[in-house]
Amino acid sequence: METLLKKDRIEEVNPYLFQKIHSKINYEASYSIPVWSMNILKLSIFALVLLMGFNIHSTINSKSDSNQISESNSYTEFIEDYHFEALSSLYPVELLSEKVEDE
Amino acid sequence: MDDIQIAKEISLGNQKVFEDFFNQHKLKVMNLCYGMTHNRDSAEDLVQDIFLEIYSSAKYFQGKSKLSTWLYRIAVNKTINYLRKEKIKKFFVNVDDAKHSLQADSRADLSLEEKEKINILHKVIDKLPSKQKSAIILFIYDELPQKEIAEIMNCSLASIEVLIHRAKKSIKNKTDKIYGNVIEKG
Repeated sequence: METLLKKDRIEEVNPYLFQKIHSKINYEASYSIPVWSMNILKLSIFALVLLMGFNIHSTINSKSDSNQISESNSYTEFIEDYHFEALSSLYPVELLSEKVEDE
Repeated sequence: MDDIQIAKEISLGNQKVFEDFFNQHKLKVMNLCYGMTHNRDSAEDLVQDIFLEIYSSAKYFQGKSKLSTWLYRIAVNKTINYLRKEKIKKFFVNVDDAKHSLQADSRADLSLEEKEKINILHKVIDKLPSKQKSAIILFIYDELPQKEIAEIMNCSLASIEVLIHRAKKSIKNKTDKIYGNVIEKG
């Protein structure tokens, strides 16, 4: 078995193999992206992800605030008297605060 | 020039040192890749990848082992990864198995009987567990001492002895099953 496998061994390598490797090295060196630009790219992506995170966080918070307001007694009272105002673009925090100021 | 100096010169882009290093190890790395893949073209592609990896990673060589051991370790890992990818490819795309046997068939220096036996051996070796396969290839195709194989594969000398012994036994049993005792007699 060993004798046969030894016969199967390759005795010479393609003489142009090193040239191929050399040209690949040169190609990679000329077309590779510099490290500093990769770092800037990474930082930009990180900043973008952070901004998106903050945006999502603030959206969730504002939604929970408006839910709390809509469940409160003052909101129910307000809705009874000012139904159409409640549908306005100032809905509902600003209108509620205006009502409190008026009173 | 010691190993650390060679690695440093390679990392600095010294083409002469890199070429000398390549010429010194190309045949053994080629045989390792060929022994694992049984395909000369794939072996050549792998040799290119391995030496490119050496060129770009030479700056990380710390001299904890010999440079040649580090090279073979990279070569074994790259070849195993290549074989894994090929296995996945074969799962999705129906690859013609006849291509496999053509490799030995194209050798002019081997007799017809030898080619047939070698093709059987290739198939039997392919069915060995990954560690046994790496150990037997390094031992037979690269003729490396068991101590160096142990360093390359990060195992103890005793476990390499066991791996090689089991691989030989397994190859013998399987080839005997296929063709009786034809290969041993040959």
